Amino acid sequence: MARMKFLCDVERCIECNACVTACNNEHDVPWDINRRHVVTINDGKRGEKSISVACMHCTDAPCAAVCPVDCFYTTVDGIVLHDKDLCIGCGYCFYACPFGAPQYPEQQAFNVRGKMDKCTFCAGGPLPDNSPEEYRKYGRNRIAEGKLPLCAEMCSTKALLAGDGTLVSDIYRKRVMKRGGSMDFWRWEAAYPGQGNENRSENDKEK
Amino acid sequence: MQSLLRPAINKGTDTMKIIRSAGIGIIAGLIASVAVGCYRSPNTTWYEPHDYKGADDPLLSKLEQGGLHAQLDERVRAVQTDR
Repeated sequence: MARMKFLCDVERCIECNACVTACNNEHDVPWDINRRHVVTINDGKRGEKSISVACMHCTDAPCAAVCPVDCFYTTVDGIVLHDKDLCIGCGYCFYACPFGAPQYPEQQAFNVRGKMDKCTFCAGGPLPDNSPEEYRKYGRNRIAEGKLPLCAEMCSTKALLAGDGTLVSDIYRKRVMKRGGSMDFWRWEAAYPGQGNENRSENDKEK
Repeated sequence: MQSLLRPAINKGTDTMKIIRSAGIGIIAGLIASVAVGCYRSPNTTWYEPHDYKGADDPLLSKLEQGGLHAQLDERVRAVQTDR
């Protein structure tokens, strides 16, 4: 059985942040938490790339390795989930994760640390599927309904893929074969044909 | 006169006995509750590291059945491929 994986096609991501909004809305995520975020490198320059990042559901998850109360578990298809009833909010997983996936809810009073929150691959947590309690703690359980994570399903350019790793890699491989090595016809070159930074306004260059 | 006072003296003695026995009872109760409350079991719970100790997720059994996986794969083909 293959593992469930996210894959973000950086050549297609347009930094619209719709995946972030969809995630926050679907799971009623608190204001101070973003289970998914979009990172842009070389912002405003030629070769700019954006990538949508959330929990990558690691095979050997460092969050699970450092958790002192062992509240993390992995499903048979590789989705890394955690039990908020066990979590003590120590934040070790936050420091261990290279993607910044587990985050603190900071809505409570000082010194009330609460429970860590992270992307669940829309698979909820260890409570009855789609029960009000599960929704309150972990958000909606779309996997139990036979649906994929909403961030990937609603991505307008289909940059963000989610699902069985074999199928996802197959989709990506076909894309690369079709478009070749360069994607210049798609982004910067489409907006500024045949030129680099020189045709941008002075204000844009300063940014 | 003395015969008149005897019932009152007897009554006072009975009251004292009741107060004394109640006091002994309260003190005994306090000692017992302190002893029980401060008792600490020498047995410790030993957990193996990296063993998940939380509640079982009902989704796990669903995923192991396989039907849900086929449904998810179909969904990938339906919504993740290019239009």
